[in-house]
Amino acid sequence: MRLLLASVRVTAVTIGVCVVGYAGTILGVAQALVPVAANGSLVSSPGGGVIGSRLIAQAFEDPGYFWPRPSAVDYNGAGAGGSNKSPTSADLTERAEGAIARFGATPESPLPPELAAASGGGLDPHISEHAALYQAGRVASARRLSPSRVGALVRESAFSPGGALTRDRVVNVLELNLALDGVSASGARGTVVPAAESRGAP
Amino acid sequence: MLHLLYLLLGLAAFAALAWLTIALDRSETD
Amino acid sequence: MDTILLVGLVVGGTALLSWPLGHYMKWVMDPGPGAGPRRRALDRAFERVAGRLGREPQAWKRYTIAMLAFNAVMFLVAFAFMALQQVLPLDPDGKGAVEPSLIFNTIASFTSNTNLQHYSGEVAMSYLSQLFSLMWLQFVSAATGVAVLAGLARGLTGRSEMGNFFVDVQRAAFLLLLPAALAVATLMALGGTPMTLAGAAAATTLEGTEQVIARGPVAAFVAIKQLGTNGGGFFGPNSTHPFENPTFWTNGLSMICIILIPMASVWMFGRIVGRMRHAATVFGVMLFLLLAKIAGAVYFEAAPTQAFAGLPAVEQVAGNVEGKEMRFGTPYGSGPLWGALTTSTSNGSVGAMHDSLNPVAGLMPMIGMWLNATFGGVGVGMVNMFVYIIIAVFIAGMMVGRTPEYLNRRVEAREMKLAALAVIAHGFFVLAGTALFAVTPWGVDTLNNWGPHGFSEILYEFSSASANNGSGFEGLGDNTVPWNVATGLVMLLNRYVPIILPLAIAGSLARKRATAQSAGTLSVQDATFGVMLVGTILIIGALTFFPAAALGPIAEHFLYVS
Repeated sequence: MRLLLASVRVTAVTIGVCVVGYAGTILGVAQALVPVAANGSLVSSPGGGVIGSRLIAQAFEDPGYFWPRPSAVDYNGAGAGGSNKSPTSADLTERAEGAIARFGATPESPLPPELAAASGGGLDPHISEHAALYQAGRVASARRLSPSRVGALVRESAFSPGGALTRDRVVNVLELNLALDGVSASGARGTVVPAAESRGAP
Repeated sequence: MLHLLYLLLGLAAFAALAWLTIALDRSETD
Repeated sequence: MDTILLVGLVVGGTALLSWPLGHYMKWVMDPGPGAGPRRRALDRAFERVAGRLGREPQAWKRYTIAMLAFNAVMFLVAFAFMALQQVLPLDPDGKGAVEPSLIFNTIASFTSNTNLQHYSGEVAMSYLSQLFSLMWLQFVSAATGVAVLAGLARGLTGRSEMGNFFVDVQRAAFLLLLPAALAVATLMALGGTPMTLAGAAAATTLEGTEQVIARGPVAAFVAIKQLGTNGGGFFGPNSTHPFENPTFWTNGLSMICIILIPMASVWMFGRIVGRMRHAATVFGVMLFLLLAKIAGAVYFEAAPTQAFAGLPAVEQVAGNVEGKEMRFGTPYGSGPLWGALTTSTSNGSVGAMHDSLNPVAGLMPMIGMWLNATFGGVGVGMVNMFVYIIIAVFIAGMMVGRTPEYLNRRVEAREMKLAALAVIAHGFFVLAGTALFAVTPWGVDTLNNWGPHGFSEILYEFSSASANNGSGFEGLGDNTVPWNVATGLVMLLNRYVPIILPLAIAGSLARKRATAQSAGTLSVQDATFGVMLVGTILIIGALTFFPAAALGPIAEHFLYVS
């Protein structure tokens, strides 16, 4: 009856304005003002192929690269997620023992906990500056660079994600590894074109 | 098919809610 | 330290912003006779859209039926879009059909402003479903909530007409949600959130493996998801996904958006009924309970991950890092803060995985959902609080031997019965559902964690559905027909029953003669009443839910953590 007709009319107008009009406007604004970010902050190699996204973690296993946090979805960019394990779960202890073995952690040189814990989305692109420095020794010897050189690279790359509101600095693992490749020849991809974005503030 | 069944399930919920509304209103004016 | 600063900025800053926004919301929803010509022209346009029914003044029953009719059409139309997604355009990655019980659950979920997701957005949904089904519902379900509060408030001023629902819902959608979403979506995009209709990007990583990177029209989606206390993410992991929440700043903006309109709704209510001091008392009660939950969540989340406690080769630093993202700061800061905010409102988005929160930190979101009124959903949070107020007024009146009255109308047996029903409904759906699924394979076979934490997963799911929250302990394997049907029905029923009953109460009160304010009238705008209200809320909540809490998070805490 008339209630349904009124409802259908309001439906049509709200879809037109709040879906088509609204999304279309934001699409236009975003693609015009920040096209790289709007399309996923993709990073390309000089050959033109897409290497990944600045915002999305990817797997690294070579000792000559810095390694990201564990991912419960194995860095699947098309199906992200966390472990959803209770923090008291034995499964987490098992995974942490695996991380300890992989990173070669000992009680004298203990593993920073985020390297044992999975991120919420499984695609966390950052690790703390501390966790990067923790890996600097391994990376330096794999690439035959001086540890202080690698350490300096880490410190250069590190930033405070919340400006004055966060205390611990983080590094973007992909960007750090790209910078590494720029410095030492053992990275096969050479220098790449990073996205011209400013980190942090909108 | 199944889709129709689920659609009707949802609409049935709305019908029940409408019935509740009318019943409440009727009980007041008694 | 920086967590306290973060909480202060987010909660305090939003509280400050909510004051002028509440003023604006009154102008939007109840312009009154003093409205200017352009404002009146907007209303006339809205009336014309609704057709013949646009100009009819609606008493509570008619208003409610109109609301139900519109929401039923919402359900139907959104259902159709999603059921046809495999043959409709805007599907660059070829998602295929959505399973029917999942369609039912998802559409029931988004229609009821819950946004419970038994699916992962980038896996299951085409862009068309995300935009035309889900994002559309995010707008109109939020607008429904604001409209209903405006109707309730008008009813409480004694007018026998609550307004016109079709006009109200458009006012809320076009004059409040739309401009706010445009602003927020733009800021999110500038902050790095993707906004594209291109399909997933294929990458070959530095080590030579293939990585498919899903993206989409995310910025637009996220803005209304947060502003409308919807909470459903574009991606499965919601706002822990770097595309859904790329930086510390988008994280802060998202959190502000979670509580902004719910806070402002309290002021709008106060302005419409003309009782700002009463609104301030209610605001204070809500704020107190919110801060208590935040404090609890942050405090208990500061304990390091228990699973690593026996491993000397892992640094034991403050904060449980599992399920957190580095760019948001300390693990006991933003994650639990967001968790408390999102469940005190009925938002349900997450900035950290709730299934991985420390046990008592994970209890705070549950408490938020059980109370469902410490700001609550846009519009409906204040509607829920109204029920608690009626009960508190009644009890207080009985305690001092005076006839209970609220805003100059006597609160009598009929109103109390309706209020009690509203409170009981929520408790019933949560506890009966949890009990059923905890003893049958419907629930037991779907758990991701054993023992008390498994019970918590089930308890959380029904709490979330009943409170129209939508967050979850996401380890639960909840995309099954029993879960989809059960939670789908609970979401619908406990969305609308707690709207119908308060509107009926207001309708009933409006039919009574106004009593004069006298020296003996119980004040609803002083600290005594505030304390009374807090006590009422906590006692009802504790009596209903404490046993369940003891079986889940509290048991887990004592067994494993201390």
